[in-house]
Amino acid sequence: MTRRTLLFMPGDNPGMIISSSVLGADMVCFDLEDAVSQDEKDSARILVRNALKSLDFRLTQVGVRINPLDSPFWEEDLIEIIPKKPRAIIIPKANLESVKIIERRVDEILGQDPYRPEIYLLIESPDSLLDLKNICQSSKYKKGLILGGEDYAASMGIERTETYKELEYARFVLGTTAHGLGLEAIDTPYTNIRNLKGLVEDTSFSKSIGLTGRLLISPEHVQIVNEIFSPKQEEIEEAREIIRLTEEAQASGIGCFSFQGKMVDAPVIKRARQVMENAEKWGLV
Amino acid sequence: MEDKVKIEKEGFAGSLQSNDCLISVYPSKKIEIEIESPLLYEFGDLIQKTITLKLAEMGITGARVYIEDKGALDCTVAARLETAIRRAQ
Repeated sequence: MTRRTLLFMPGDNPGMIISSSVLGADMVCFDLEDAVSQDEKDSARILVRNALKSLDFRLTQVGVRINPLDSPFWEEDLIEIIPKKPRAIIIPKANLESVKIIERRVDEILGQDPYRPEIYLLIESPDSLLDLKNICQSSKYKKGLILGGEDYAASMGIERTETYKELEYARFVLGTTAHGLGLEAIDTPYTNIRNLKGLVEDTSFSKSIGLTGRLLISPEHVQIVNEIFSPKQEEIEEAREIIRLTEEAQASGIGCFSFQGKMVDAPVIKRARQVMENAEKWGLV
Repeated sequence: MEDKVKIEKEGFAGSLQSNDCLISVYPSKKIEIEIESPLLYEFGDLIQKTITLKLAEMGITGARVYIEDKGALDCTVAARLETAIRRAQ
């Protein structure tokens, strides 16, 4: 099941943590990294740990962005957070070294426990983008790739603009690699919080090139982005019909068939099943 | 009984934002808890209990705890207290 929206919330803000489950995001990500000052890292990780232990987030899944490997905080983050079993961990500045070391530490902490968090790899630099396939293949628990547009642009020495044109190459590479490896492809946040028209245009472009969801930094963006990445009613009806015809064909011993003039093969059937799974999960059927 | 965790100095954690609390801990020979909350009547006992349990869990028999509550849940109170104690070591 893919996630359309990952909403970042500061890990040191109890009010935001408590209200996060009613905002409609597929996943809330409590941030221990950029949203938390150096002096409050200890405070944030204990607060998030307690929230994971005590609060009911209902249908909203919970992830945690830990601090990067080049900080003194990542290991304590894992020690406190992992035993409370968040659904996912986001590894910032993901590269070959950080993924291997962090996942190894996760394994050490959990031991024989069958639970493992899903891992999102936050890609924030050109060298990580160039090494993306290797980084992905080194991860045992990978679920998706996320583009960190601001840090990526800073590494490239390029200006961020309202058009997001400067991120186009990175988006294409991330989306293509993710799909090639069966991963989610999560776009960078739209940072102009008030420009909802721009959000719609840019997120529609994301979807058109194969990205499957978006990282968000504003609760106001959740419903808009959910809708863009959700299948339209026509897509759902088409998927439903393909599945019905597939079952009929199988029952009749027919190997392949056409639908609306096109051959229906395994990838088409797989996509139809994915559409229906998502539609059911998101309450669209 | 020897404290598992020793309060050596002052420690502070939290904030005065809504749904949070600001906790200060100081060294003391016994447990002293002072609560300031707009919901003292409704939740004072629960806050007291949360603090008492956390201190016991951390093996602390001597500490002065001052909490300015702004509507924090008990998991938030416990988190801020634990952070303040760790910073007071």
